[in-house]
Amino acid sequence: MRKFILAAVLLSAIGFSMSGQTIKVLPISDKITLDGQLTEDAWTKAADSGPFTFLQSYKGSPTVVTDFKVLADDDALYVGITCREPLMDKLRMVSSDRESTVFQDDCVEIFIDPTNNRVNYYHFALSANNAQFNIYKIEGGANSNLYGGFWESAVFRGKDFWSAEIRIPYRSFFYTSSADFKNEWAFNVGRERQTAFEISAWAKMKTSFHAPVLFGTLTGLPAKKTSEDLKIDVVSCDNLAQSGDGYTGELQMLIEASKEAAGKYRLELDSAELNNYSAEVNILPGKSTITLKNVKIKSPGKFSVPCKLIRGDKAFGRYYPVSLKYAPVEFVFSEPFYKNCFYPGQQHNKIIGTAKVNLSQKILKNCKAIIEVNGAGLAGQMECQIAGTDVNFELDATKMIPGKAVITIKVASADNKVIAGETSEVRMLESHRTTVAWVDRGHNLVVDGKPVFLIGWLGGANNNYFASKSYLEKYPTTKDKCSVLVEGDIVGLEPERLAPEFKSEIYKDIKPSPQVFEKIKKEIAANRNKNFWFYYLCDEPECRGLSAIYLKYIYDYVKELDPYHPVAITSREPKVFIDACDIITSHFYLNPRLNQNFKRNSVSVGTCRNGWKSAQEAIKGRSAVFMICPQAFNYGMHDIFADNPNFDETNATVWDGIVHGAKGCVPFMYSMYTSGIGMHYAFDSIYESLAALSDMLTAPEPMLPVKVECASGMVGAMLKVVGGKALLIVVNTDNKPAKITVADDALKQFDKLFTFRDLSTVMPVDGKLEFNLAPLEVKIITSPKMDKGLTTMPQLREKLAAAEKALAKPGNILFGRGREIDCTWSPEQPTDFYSIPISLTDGITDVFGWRQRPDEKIGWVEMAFPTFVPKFSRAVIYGYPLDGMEFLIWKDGKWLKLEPVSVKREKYSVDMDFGKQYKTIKIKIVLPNTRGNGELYEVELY
Amino acid sequence: MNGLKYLGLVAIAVLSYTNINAEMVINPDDNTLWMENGKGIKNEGSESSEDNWKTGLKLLPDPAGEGFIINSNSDVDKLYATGRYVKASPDYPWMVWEVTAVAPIPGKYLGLSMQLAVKDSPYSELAGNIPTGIFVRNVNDRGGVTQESSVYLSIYAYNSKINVKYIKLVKKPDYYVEMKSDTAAQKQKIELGDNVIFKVYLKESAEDVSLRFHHVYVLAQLNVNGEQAVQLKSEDGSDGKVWSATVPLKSISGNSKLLKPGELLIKTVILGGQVKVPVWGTNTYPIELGKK
Repeated sequence: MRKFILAAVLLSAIGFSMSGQTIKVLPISDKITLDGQLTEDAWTKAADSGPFTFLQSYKGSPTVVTDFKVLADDDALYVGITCREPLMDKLRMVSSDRESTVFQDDCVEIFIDPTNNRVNYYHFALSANNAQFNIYKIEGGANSNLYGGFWESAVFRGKDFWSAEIRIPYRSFFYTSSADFKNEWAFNVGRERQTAFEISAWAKMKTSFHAPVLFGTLTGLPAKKTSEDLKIDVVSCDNLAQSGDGYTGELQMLIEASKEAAGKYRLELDSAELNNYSAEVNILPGKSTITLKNVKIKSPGKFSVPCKLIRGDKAFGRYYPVSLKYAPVEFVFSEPFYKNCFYPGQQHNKIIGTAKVNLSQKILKNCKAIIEVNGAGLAGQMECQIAGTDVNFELDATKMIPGKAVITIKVASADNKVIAGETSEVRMLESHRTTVAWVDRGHNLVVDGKPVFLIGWLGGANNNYFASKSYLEKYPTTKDKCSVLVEGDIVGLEPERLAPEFKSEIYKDIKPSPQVFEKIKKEIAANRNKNFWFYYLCDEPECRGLSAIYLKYIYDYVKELDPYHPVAITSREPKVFIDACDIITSHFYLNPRLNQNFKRNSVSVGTCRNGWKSAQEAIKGRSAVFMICPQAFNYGMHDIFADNPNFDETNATVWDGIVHGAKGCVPFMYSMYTSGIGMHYAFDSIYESLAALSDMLTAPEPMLPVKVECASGMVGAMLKVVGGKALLIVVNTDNKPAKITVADDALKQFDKLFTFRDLSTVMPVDGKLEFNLAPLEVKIITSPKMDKGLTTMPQLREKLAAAEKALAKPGNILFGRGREIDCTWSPEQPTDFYSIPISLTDGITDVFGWRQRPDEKIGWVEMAFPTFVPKFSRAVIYGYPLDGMEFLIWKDGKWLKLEPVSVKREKYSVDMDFGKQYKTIKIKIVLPNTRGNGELYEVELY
Repeated sequence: MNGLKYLGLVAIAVLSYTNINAEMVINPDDNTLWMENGKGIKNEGSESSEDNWKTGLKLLPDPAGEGFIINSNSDVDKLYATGRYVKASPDYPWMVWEVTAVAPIPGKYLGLSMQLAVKDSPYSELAGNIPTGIFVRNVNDRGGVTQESSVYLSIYAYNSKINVKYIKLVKKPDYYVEMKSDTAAQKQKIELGDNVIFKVYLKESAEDVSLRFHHVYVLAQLNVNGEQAVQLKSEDGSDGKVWSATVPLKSISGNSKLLKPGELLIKTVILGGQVKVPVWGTNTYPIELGKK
């Protein structure tokens, strides 16, 4: 045993890295004075990191040494970094604190993940001038969250080196709860040496620092205490009003605290703009909001405010960019409802609104407000009461004509001195030569005066995704299935596509360059005669770290230029991007998968449910539409075991979205939604059902807050009663059966209700209905019956079962064995390599599994069989064109072309009988005469 | 690696050699130095354990009887790593392990690495996509083990349930693939323009052998010289057990300028043979691919 201890001590002392870069932290109890000089005893005893290496994209090794050491006490982590530098006089040090320009200076960067999950991590940067920057990176470094956690640093510049001492309290890792802290952290230190353009790091990185999976490991760390689980989520300051020489506002802080962290703190806002506000506050456990009224503010603007909550000698909190917006007067219109516009065909009897006057009561005493209107056939003025700070007004707009009416408010004192004013516009839009769309109070998209439930596709054959000739013949466009969103029904306004030379701007919270606006204007002008429903501004901005503020500038510009068409964004973070769009399309996917035994993983429709809920929240109180973009494809191009969502998964996901207020369903399908038969049947039936129910779904009456009782909490329900008709949708999103009670007083008026697409009826008792739902079952109940002409669900399920059974043709050796088959083919981009063998053996004979490259004359696919050896006498090949197709087998070390004794040809298939049985380890199908048009859909061997 | 660290290694070897590798199967046959097959597997060790796996990521005996299961789930705990000391010997250069099933947790980061801490041995961490099959690594192709010693064997796994039939260190695996060039040992690298020799050795004869190439990151497929596959030919007199091809290396697709040892995964597709699962090899030398 003594031998092992000695060995362990040896290892610890030299910090030996046995599995990747690892360094052990030295625990300390003595104080470290932060002066950048690493003179304390503890630094000499701590393990040395060893030298850094270049990122993979650089050849050779760094020409100077950088190394570091790490200490830890029970409160904080200390990192001491030494950067040798023969060119001290050339150090670049121009940045200021909390600016990302730190990265352009000579700097060091520290990456810390206290959970060692290697997905999210804290990123600190320190320049040779002691300018700090930090950010919290999520999703493996792909995106960022605001951070601003407190940390201390000092830098010393010597003759031929500079060094830094950094202290990070554990409480500053506030995105990580104490329960998730590990005693091994993912860790890395990098250096950007601008004097010689060298970028190096301690852990071996590829082309970027942002690959947490490659970080090294810090061992021997203590954990954060639960009493330090305190996080300031949001700081906002609203309702600014003038007061004396400055302003007052209402400060709100959203805080999350553990039970142990809750209690009394002193809040200090060290900001001159906020007059260094200080107050005693009481933080409650869990999530809470602190509201502080009459906070004195020097001037409006956006400021990075250090928000400190102090208890004892510890300061919790962060820097937060607090926006202090002040407008003396703000208009809010309730009529017209959407974007201050009366649209063609809309009633325009009145303009109704409120002007919020953000002045103190002292100033407003004895003041009066005059509202003037001028333009678009209206002229006049009226004196209005100021109720508190609100001036409510109604203007007669019956005589309004197309054009802009300017509404002005003047707040005047008793002696008629104007002390505040503001103007806004209300537009009456002329009838437009093309389709006009807007949003109504029911969060519906209204197209040419009619609310529509938006059904369509994103992706698709007409949107640059290839589909097989056979598929296109069966489904010429997707228009025959649903109403919109083939090419031509939307107009893309993605700034990074229209102005790629300005692409680097879009990640920043800035106003776009004039040239970007010019390109947008040009694109709008180019489409002014086109019939389309809305503009598409951005796809998945959160995945690419795009700025919501940047997109908002473009959105505002588009609305000014073209008020006739809403703007859409697809995003999984609807709350972040809702200000930059009218239509938010949320795309949450199920990602089903098989295991090695080809058994299906169950998927959680609940994960999509949370997404739909976040979108529902995002549109509350706004004139916006929420649409769902469910999965109508599979990830087979990346993952051999990926599968399509099945019928029930698709059905439950879509109807659950509708229960949460979605007014559109636009699945993403890449090229063909028929590639999964259950998914195909589900979407077809959903679209039929939506068409039958769209009047109810888009009726102006709001959804009723129906009460749902269910043990799992995984059931959603919505109820609408419109003119004596009822629509109730109940969705079990759990993979288990559920017993459910649904109750609402509105159900009391109905003696009997009908199950949609079923022959059964249900009878509410005292406004209650009880259901026993199967896993993922959807129940739609209506009164009266609304499913005329539609197949019942039991009939549909029978049809689906028969269709699934029919895929596996008797005797077809290859059916369903695609994952066991190894395919190669005439050179193609290596992206779809997994889906090819699966698509060629899934029984679906109109969806292509392989498509020839356009510049090839000869196309071929080779199928090799490592796990079984097929014996067959007949082959049926589906594809196009199949004239001159050759079928070969591998025999005795070479390819042998088989000649069939009989052939049956159809437009998209060739059935070849070879007259005798063959056995082979691989086959090859060659399409020699296709000139780049070859497609294969299915290969069957009998 | 500096001298002090070598001293540490040697110290470990000298001080701990006789007590190493309890619970593993030691020398089950002449070809095998040690094998972990899950029987009697323990997870109670410390950082310097030699008789069982370090506390952390748990390795559990497979209830079906053969091998062990690695079960990592970040929703349950954040334990991703384990390891232990094992013997290494220049006579036993090949580390072999077989993955028979992988059940990843959807929506999470997936990863698996099995690494023997030998200088210049290939390092592979499969990220995003973990295939099944037999994995073979020549950990001593570049001479990192000069004498019998104790080295650290680490396993990292993220968010998957992985069935492993065994891990073992052998003289010669039943099935393996090598990628070399005439000048690799001298230059300590392979470069564009080199004649690369791919060789596959099989215990039993096969009808056809070809190779596919992937990057460890999400198993992205790579083309060699613009082709998806390299077809091998059976060597004369080998009875279909030794297959090879010599290929002047012109290109490997993808964005990497350098494939470090272990980054290129070579999938051996064996047809008409006894082995029905892919055999995954790797590059033991860095492959420099020049400017892109």
